[in-house]
Amino acid sequence: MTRPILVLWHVLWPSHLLLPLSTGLFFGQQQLNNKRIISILFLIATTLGLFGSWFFINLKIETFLLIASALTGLLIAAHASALTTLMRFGYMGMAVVVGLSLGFDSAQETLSGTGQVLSLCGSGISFFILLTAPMLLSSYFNQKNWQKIGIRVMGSWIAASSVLVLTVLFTLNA
Amino acid sequence: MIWFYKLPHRALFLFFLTIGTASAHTGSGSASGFISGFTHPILGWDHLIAMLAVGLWGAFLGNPSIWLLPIVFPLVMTFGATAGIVGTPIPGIEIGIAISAVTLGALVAFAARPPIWISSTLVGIFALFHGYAHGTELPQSANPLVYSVGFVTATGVLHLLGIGFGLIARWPAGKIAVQTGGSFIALMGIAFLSKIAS
Repeated sequence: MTRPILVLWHVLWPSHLLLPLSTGLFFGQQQLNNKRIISILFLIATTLGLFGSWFFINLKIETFLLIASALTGLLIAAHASALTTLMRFGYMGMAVVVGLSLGFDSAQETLSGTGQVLSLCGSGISFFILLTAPMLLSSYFNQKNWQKIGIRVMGSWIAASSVLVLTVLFTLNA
Repeated sequence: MIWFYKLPHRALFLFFLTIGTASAHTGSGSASGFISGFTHPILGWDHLIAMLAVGLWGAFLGNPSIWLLPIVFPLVMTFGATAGIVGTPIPGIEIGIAISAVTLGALVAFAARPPIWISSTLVGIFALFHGYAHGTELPQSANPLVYSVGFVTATGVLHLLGIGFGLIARWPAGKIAVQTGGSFIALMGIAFLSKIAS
Protein backbone atom coordinates (compact mmCIF):
# COMPACT_ATOMS: atom_id res chain seq x y z
CA MET A 1 0.00 0.00 0.00
CA THR A 2 1.48 3.34 -1.03
CA ARG A 3 1.75 6.26 1.38
CA PRO A 4 -0.96 8.48 -0.19
CA ILE A 5 -3.44 5.64 -0.03
CA LEU A 6 -2.42 4.89 3.51
CA VAL A 7 -3.15 8.45 4.52
CA LEU A 8 -6.46 8.66 2.71
CA TRP A 9 -7.56 5.11 3.30
CA HIS A 10 -10.71 5.85 5.26
CA VAL A 11 -11.97 8.50 2.89
CA LEU A 12 -12.43 5.76 0.29
CA TRP A 13 -15.31 4.34 2.30
CA PRO A 14 -18.66 5.80 1.18
CA SER A 15 -19.89 6.27 4.75
CA HIS A 16 -16.71 8.16 5.69
CA LEU A 17 -17.12 10.38 2.65
CA LEU A 18 -20.87 11.00 2.69
CA LEU A 19 -21.30 11.91 6.36
CA PRO A 20 -18.72 14.72 6.63
CA LEU A 21 -19.81 16.03 3.23
CA SER A 22 -23.47 16.17 4.20
CA THR A 23 -22.74 17.60 7.65
CA GLY A 24 -20.50 20.30 6.17
CA LEU A 25 -23.07 21.23 3.54
CA PHE A 26 -25.78 21.35 6.19
CA PHE A 27 -23.78 23.62 8.51
CA GLY A 28 -22.91 25.93 5.62
CA GLN A 29 -26.50 26.05 4.43
CA GLN A 30 -27.66 27.13 7.90
CA GLN A 31 -25.57 30.32 7.71
CA LEU A 32 -24.22 29.78 11.21
CA ASN A 33 -22.05 32.44 12.79
CA ASN A 34 -20.15 29.95 14.94
CA LYS A 35 -18.63 27.89 12.15
CA ARG A 36 -15.14 28.22 13.65
CA ILE A 37 -16.23 26.80 16.98
CA ILE A 38 -18.11 24.01 15.22
CA SER A 39 -15.13 23.03 13.07
CA ILE A 40 -12.76 23.14 16.07
CA LEU A 41 -15.17 20.98 18.07
CA PHE A 42 -15.37 18.58 15.15
CA LEU A 43 -11.58 18.40 14.93
CA ILE A 44 -11.24 17.72 18.66
CA ALA A 45 -14.00 15.10 18.60
CA THR A 46 -12.49 13.39 15.56
CA THR A 47 -9.06 13.32 17.19
CA LEU A 48 -10.53 11.84 20.36
CA GLY A 49 -12.43 9.28 18.32
CA LEU A 50 -9.31 8.32 16.38
CA PHE A 51 -7.29 7.97 19.59
CA GLY A 52 -10.08 5.87 21.00
CA SER A 53 -10.08 3.62 17.98
CA TRP A 54 -6.29 3.28 18.22
CA PHE A 55 -6.23 2.18 21.83
CA PHE A 56 -9.37 0.42 22.86
CA ILE A 57 -12.50 1.15 20.89
CA ASN A 58 -13.31 -0.77 17.77
CA LEU A 59 -16.86 0.15 16.83
CA LYS A 60 -18.43 -0.92 13.57
CA ILE A 61 -21.02 1.78 13.13
CA GLU A 62 -21.15 2.08 9.37
CA THR A 63 -24.92 1.66 9.36
CA PHE A 64 -25.31 4.54 11.82
CA LEU A 65 -23.02 6.75 9.74
CA LEU A 66 -25.03 6.05 6.58
CA ILE A 67 -28.38 6.64 8.26
CA ALA A 68 -27.04 9.89 9.70
CA SER A 69 -25.79 11.05 6.29
CA ALA A 70 -29.12 10.10 4.66
CA LEU A 71 -31.04 12.12 7.27
CA THR A 72 -28.67 15.07 6.96
CA GLY A 73 -29.02 14.91 3.17
CA LEU A 74 -32.79 15.06 3.53
CA LEU A 75 -32.49 18.06 5.87
CA ILE A 76 -30.36 19.82 3.24
CA ALA A 77 -32.86 18.97 0.49
CA ALA A 78 -35.74 20.26 2.63
CA HIS A 79 -33.64 23.32 3.58
CA ALA A 80 -34.69 22.76 7.17
CA SER A 81 -33.53 25.58 9.37
CA ALA A 82 -34.26 26.55 12.93
CA LEU A 83 -31.74 29.09 14.12
CA THR A 84 -32.72 29.26 17.75
CA THR A 85 -30.17 29.36 20.53
CA LEU A 86 -31.01 25.78 21.39
CA MET A 87 -30.40 24.72 17.82
CA ARG A 88 -27.00 26.42 17.81
CA PHE A 89 -25.97 24.12 20.65
CA GLY A 90 -27.56 21.31 18.69
CA TYR A 91 -25.26 22.02 15.76
CA MET A 92 -22.25 21.89 18.08
CA GLY A 93 -23.49 18.60 19.51
CA MET A 94 -23.99 17.29 16.00
CA ALA A 95 -20.40 18.21 15.09
CA VAL A 96 -19.11 16.37 18.17
CA VAL A 97 -21.22 13.25 17.54
CA VAL A 98 -20.23 13.11 13.86
CA GLY A 99 -16.55 13.62 14.69
CA LEU A 100 -16.53 10.96 17.42
CA SER A 101 -18.47 8.51 15.26
CA LEU A 102 -16.13 8.90 12.30
CA GLY A 103 -13.11 8.54 14.60
CA PHE A 104 -14.43 5.45 16.38
CA ASP A 105 -15.29 3.81 13.07
CA SER A 106 -11.76 4.33 11.76
CA ALA A 107 -10.01 1.52 13.63
CA GLN A 108 -7.16 0.15 11.56
CA GLU A 109 -6.65 -3.49 12.46
CA THR A 110 -4.31 -4.53 9.68
CA LEU A 111 -1.69 -1.83 10.32
CA SER A 112 0.68 -1.16 13.20
CA GLY A 113 3.40 1.29 14.16
CA THR A 114 4.10 4.13 11.73
CA GLY A 115 1.55 2.86 9.23
CA GLN A 116 -1.19 3.01 11.80
CA VAL A 117 -0.20 6.49 12.97
CA LEU A 118 -0.09 7.73 9.37
CA SER A 119 -3.46 6.20 8.65
CA LEU A 120 -5.07 7.81 11.69
CA CYS A 121 -3.48 11.22 11.00
CA GLY A 122 -4.57 11.04 7.38
CA SER A 123 -8.09 10.12 8.40
CA GLY A 124 -8.26 13.08 10.78
CA ILE A 125 -6.99 15.56 8.19
CA SER A 126 -9.26 14.15 5.50
CA PHE A 127 -12.35 14.27 7.71
CA PHE A 128 -11.58 17.86 8.68
CA ILE A 129 -11.20 18.93 5.04
CA LEU A 130 -14.25 16.92 4.00
CA LEU A 131 -16.34 18.81 6.57
CA THR A 132 -14.90 22.31 6.32
CA ALA A 133 -14.58 22.58 2.53
CA PRO A 134 -18.29 21.90 1.79
CA MET A 135 -19.22 24.04 4.80
CA LEU A 136 -17.29 26.97 3.37
CA LEU A 137 -18.61 26.34 -0.12
CA SER A 138 -22.25 26.09 0.88
CA SER A 139 -22.04 29.20 3.08
CA TYR A 140 -20.12 31.12 0.40
CA PHE A 141 -22.42 30.03 -2.45
CA ASN A 142 -25.68 30.54 -0.61
CA GLN A 143 -26.73 33.96 -1.82
CA LYS A 144 -28.46 33.51 -5.16
CA ASN A 145 -31.45 31.32 -5.80
CA TRP A 146 -29.70 28.92 -8.18
CA GLN A 147 -26.91 28.44 -5.63
CA LYS A 148 -29.43 27.46 -2.96
CA ILE A 149 -31.05 25.05 -5.44
CA GLY A 150 -27.62 23.51 -6.14
CA ILE A 151 -27.04 22.86 -2.44
CA ARG A 152 -30.48 21.30 -2.02
CA VAL A 153 -29.94 19.07 -5.05
CA MET A 154 -26.58 17.96 -3.64
CA GLY A 155 -28.35 17.10 -0.38
CA SER A 156 -30.75 14.86 -2.26
CA TRP A 157 -27.82 13.12 -4.00
CA ILE A 158 -26.18 12.44 -0.65
CA ALA A 159 -29.43 11.10 0.82
CA ALA A 160 -30.02 8.89 -2.22
CA SER A 161 -26.43 7.61 -2.27
CA SER A 162 -26.54 6.85 1.46
CA VAL A 163 -29.78 4.86 1.16
CA LEU A 164 -28.38 2.91 -1.79
CA VAL A 165 -25.12 2.12 -0.02
CA LEU A 166 -27.14 0.98 3.00
CA THR A 167 -29.22 -1.28 0.76
CA VAL A 168 -26.12 -2.77 -0.82
CA LEU A 169 -24.58 -3.37 2.61
CA PHE A 170 -27.68 -5.17 3.83
CA THR A 171 -27.87 -7.18 0.62
CA LEU A 172 -24.22 -8.21 0.80
CA ASN A 173 -24.57 -9.18 4.47
CA ALA A 174 -27.80 -11.11 3.93
CA MET B 1 -6.99 28.86 11.68
CA ILE B 2 -8.33 32.25 10.51
CA TRP B 3 -6.54 32.12 7.14
CA PHE B 4 -8.42 28.95 6.39
CA TYR B 5 -11.77 30.74 6.54
CA LYS B 6 -10.62 33.78 4.63
CA LEU B 7 -9.49 31.76 1.67
CA PRO B 8 -12.26 29.41 0.54
CA HIS B 9 -10.53 28.74 -2.78
CA ARG B 10 -7.64 27.13 -0.89
CA ALA B 11 -10.03 24.89 0.96
CA LEU B 12 -11.69 24.05 -2.34
CA PHE B 13 -8.33 23.19 -3.85
CA LEU B 14 -7.44 20.99 -0.90
CA PHE B 15 -10.83 19.34 -1.04
CA PHE B 16 -10.59 18.38 -4.69
CA LEU B 17 -6.97 17.38 -4.26
CA THR B 18 -8.01 14.96 -1.56
CA ILE B 19 -10.85 13.48 -3.55
CA GLY B 20 -8.75 13.22 -6.67
CA THR B 21 -5.90 11.45 -4.95
CA ALA B 22 -8.26 9.09 -3.22
CA SER B 23 -9.97 8.11 -6.44
CA ALA B 24 -6.89 7.87 -8.55
CA HIS B 25 -5.05 5.27 -6.52
CA THR B 26 -7.75 2.78 -5.75
CA GLY B 27 -6.92 0.26 -8.44
CA SER B 28 -9.77 -1.93 -9.50
CA GLY B 29 -12.00 -1.16 -6.53
CA SER B 30 -13.41 2.26 -5.79
CA ALA B 31 -12.33 4.15 -8.89
CA SER B 32 -13.65 1.63 -11.40
CA GLY B 33 -16.83 1.20 -9.35
CA PHE B 34 -17.46 4.93 -9.35
CA ILE B 35 -16.63 5.31 -13.03
CA SER B 36 -18.86 2.44 -14.11
CA GLY B 37 -21.68 3.84 -11.96
CA PHE B 38 -21.09 7.35 -13.26
CA THR B 39 -21.01 6.30 -16.91
CA HIS B 40 -24.09 4.05 -16.71
CA PRO B 41 -26.67 6.87 -17.00
CA ILE B 42 -24.46 8.86 -19.38
CA LEU B 43 -23.65 6.09 -21.88
CA GLY B 44 -27.20 4.76 -21.90
CA TRP B 45 -29.02 7.07 -24.31
CA ASP B 46 -32.43 6.21 -22.92
CA HIS B 47 -31.34 7.28 -19.43
CA LEU B 48 -29.47 10.31 -20.72
CA ILE B 49 -32.35 11.90 -22.63
CA ALA B 50 -34.86 11.23 -19.86
CA MET B 51 -32.58 12.83 -17.25
CA LEU B 52 -32.02 15.85 -19.45
CA ALA B 53 -35.79 16.09 -19.95
CA VAL B 54 -36.36 16.16 -16.18
CA GLY B 55 -34.00 19.11 -15.86
CA LEU B 56 -35.47 20.84 -18.91
CA TRP B 57 -39.01 20.46 -17.65
CA GLY B 58 -38.07 21.64 -14.17
CA ALA B 59 -36.43 24.77 -15.57
CA PHE B 60 -39.38 25.31 -17.90
CA LEU B 61 -41.89 25.10 -15.07
CA GLY B 62 -39.86 27.45 -12.86
CA ASN B 63 -40.13 27.62 -9.08
CA PRO B 64 -40.59 25.31 -7.16
CA SER B 65 -40.33 22.59 -9.84
CA ILE B 66 -36.84 23.71 -10.83
CA TRP B 67 -35.46 22.40 -7.54
CA LEU B 68 -38.23 19.97 -6.55
CA LEU B 69 -38.04 17.65 -9.58
CA PRO B 70 -34.25 17.11 -9.39
CA ILE B 71 -34.65 16.39 -5.68
CA VAL B 72 -37.62 14.05 -6.04
CA PHE B 73 -35.99 12.04 -8.83
CA PRO B 74 -32.87 10.69 -7.03
CA LEU B 75 -34.77 10.13 -3.79
CA VAL B 76 -37.50 8.04 -5.46
CA MET B 77 -34.91 6.43 -7.73
CA THR B 78 -33.36 4.80 -4.67
CA PHE B 79 -36.58 2.82 -4.11
CA GLY B 80 -36.41 1.53 -7.68
CA ALA B 81 -32.72 0.73 -7.28
CA THR B 82 -33.44 -1.09 -4.01
CA ALA B 83 -36.02 -3.24 -5.80
CA GLY B 84 -33.43 -3.95 -8.49
CA ILE B 85 -30.72 -4.84 -5.98
CA VAL B 86 -32.87 -7.25 -3.99
CA GLY B 87 -34.18 -8.76 -7.23
CA THR B 88 -37.87 -7.87 -6.97
CA PRO B 89 -39.28 -8.64 -10.43
CA ILE B 90 -40.84 -5.59 -12.11
CA PRO B 91 -41.96 -6.14 -15.70
CA GLY B 92 -41.60 -3.66 -18.53
CA ILE B 93 -38.67 -1.68 -17.17
CA GLU B 94 -37.19 -0.88 -20.58
CA ILE B 95 -40.62 0.13 -21.90
CA GLY B 96 -41.12 2.34 -18.84
CA ILE B 97 -37.77 4.07 -19.42
CA ALA B 98 -38.60 4.69 -23.10
CA ILE B 99 -42.08 5.97 -22.16
CA SER B 100 -40.47 8.33 -19.63
CA ALA B 101 -38.42 9.92 -22.42
CA VAL B 102 -41.47 10.17 -24.71
CA THR B 103 -43.70 11.65 -22.00
CA LEU B 104 -41.19 14.09 -20.51
CA GLY B 105 -40.03 15.20 -23.95
CA ALA B 106 -43.62 15.74 -25.09
CA LEU B 107 -44.46 17.69 -21.90
CA VAL B 108 -41.55 20.03 -22.62
CA ALA B 109 -42.42 20.23 -26.33
CA PHE B 110 -46.04 21.17 -25.62
CA ALA B 111 -45.05 23.48 -22.75
CA ALA B 112 -47.32 21.58 -20.37
CA ARG B 113 -47.74 23.17 -16.94
CA PRO B 114 -49.58 20.70 -14.69
CA PRO B 115 -49.90 21.26 -10.91
CA ILE B 116 -46.73 20.59 -8.93
CA TRP B 117 -48.07 17.39 -7.35
CA ILE B 118 -48.79 15.90 -10.78
CA SER B 119 -45.35 16.76 -12.17
CA SER B 120 -43.64 15.42 -9.03
CA THR B 121 -45.67 12.18 -9.09
CA LEU B 122 -44.98 11.66 -12.77
CA VAL B 123 -41.25 12.21 -12.35
CA GLY B 124 -41.27 9.97 -9.27
CA ILE B 125 -42.91 7.10 -11.18
CA PHE B 126 -40.37 7.37 -13.99
CA ALA B 127 -37.55 7.53 -11.43
CA LEU B 128 -38.57 4.06 -10.23
CA PHE B 129 -37.94 2.57 -13.69
CA HIS B 130 -34.57 4.26 -14.08
CA GLY B 131 -33.53 3.34 -10.54
CA TYR B 132 -34.49 -0.31 -11.09
CA ALA B 133 -32.37 -0.47 -14.24
CA HIS B 134 -29.35 0.94 -12.38
CA GLY B 135 -30.00 -1.28 -9.37
CA THR B 136 -30.03 -4.56 -11.32
CA GLU B 137 -26.49 -3.86 -12.55
CA LEU B 138 -25.23 -2.69 -9.19
CA PRO B 139 -24.42 -5.99 -7.41
CA GLN B 140 -22.32 -7.18 -10.38
CA SER B 141 -20.11 -4.09 -10.42
CA ALA B 142 -16.52 -4.00 -9.15
CA ASN B 143 -17.48 -1.97 -6.10
CA PRO B 144 -21.26 -1.76 -5.64
CA LEU B 145 -20.99 0.80 -2.85
CA VAL B 146 -19.16 3.35 -4.93
CA TYR B 147 -21.11 2.40 -8.07
CA SER B 148 -24.29 3.65 -6.40
CA VAL B 149 -22.64 6.97 -5.53
CA GLY B 150 -21.47 7.22 -9.15
CA PHE B 151 -24.83 6.75 -10.81
CA VAL B 152 -26.64 9.07 -8.40
CA THR B 153 -24.04 11.78 -9.06
CA ALA B 154 -24.25 11.29 -12.84
CA THR B 155 -28.05 11.47 -12.72
CA GLY B 156 -27.85 14.74 -10.80
CA VAL B 157 -25.27 16.18 -13.19
CA LEU B 158 -27.55 15.38 -16.15
CA HIS B 159 -30.44 17.10 -14.36
CA LEU B 160 -28.30 20.17 -13.83
CA LEU B 161 -27.31 20.16 -17.51
CA GLY B 162 -30.99 19.99 -18.44
CA ILE B 163 -31.77 22.85 -16.04
CA GLY B 164 -28.89 24.87 -17.48
CA PHE B 165 -30.26 24.47 -20.99
CA GLY B 166 -33.84 24.95 -19.83
CA LEU B 167 -33.06 28.32 -18.26
CA ILE B 168 -32.79 29.87 -21.72
CA ALA B 169 -36.58 29.41 -21.95
CA ARG B 170 -36.98 32.83 -20.32
CA TRP B 171 -36.26 34.38 -23.73
CA PRO B 172 -38.69 33.84 -26.64
CA ALA B 173 -36.06 32.28 -28.90
CA GLY B 174 -34.81 30.18 -26.02
CA LYS B 175 -38.32 28.90 -25.37
CA ILE B 176 -38.51 27.66 -28.95
CA ALA B 177 -35.09 26.01 -28.57
CA VAL B 178 -36.15 24.26 -25.36
CA GLN B 179 -39.43 23.06 -26.90
CA THR B 180 -37.51 21.79 -29.92
CA GLY B 181 -35.19 19.97 -27.52
CA GLY B 182 -38.23 18.41 -25.88
CA SER B 183 -39.55 17.28 -29.27
CA PHE B 184 -36.19 15.73 -30.07
CA ILE B 185 -36.19 13.84 -26.76
CA ALA B 186 -39.76 12.60 -27.37
CA LEU B 187 -38.82 11.39 -30.86
CA MET B 188 -35.79 9.57 -29.51
CA GLY B 189 -38.02 7.99 -26.88
CA ILE B 190 -40.38 6.81 -29.62
CA ALA B 191 -37.38 5.32 -31.44
CA PHE B 192 -36.37 3.42 -28.29
CA LEU B 193 -39.94 2.29 -27.76
CA SER B 194 -40.28 0.98 -31.34
CA LYS B 195 -36.91 -0.78 -31.01
CA ILE B 196 -38.10 -2.51 -27.84
CA ALA B 197 -41.44 -3.40 -29.42
CA SER B 198 -39.89 -4.82 -32.62
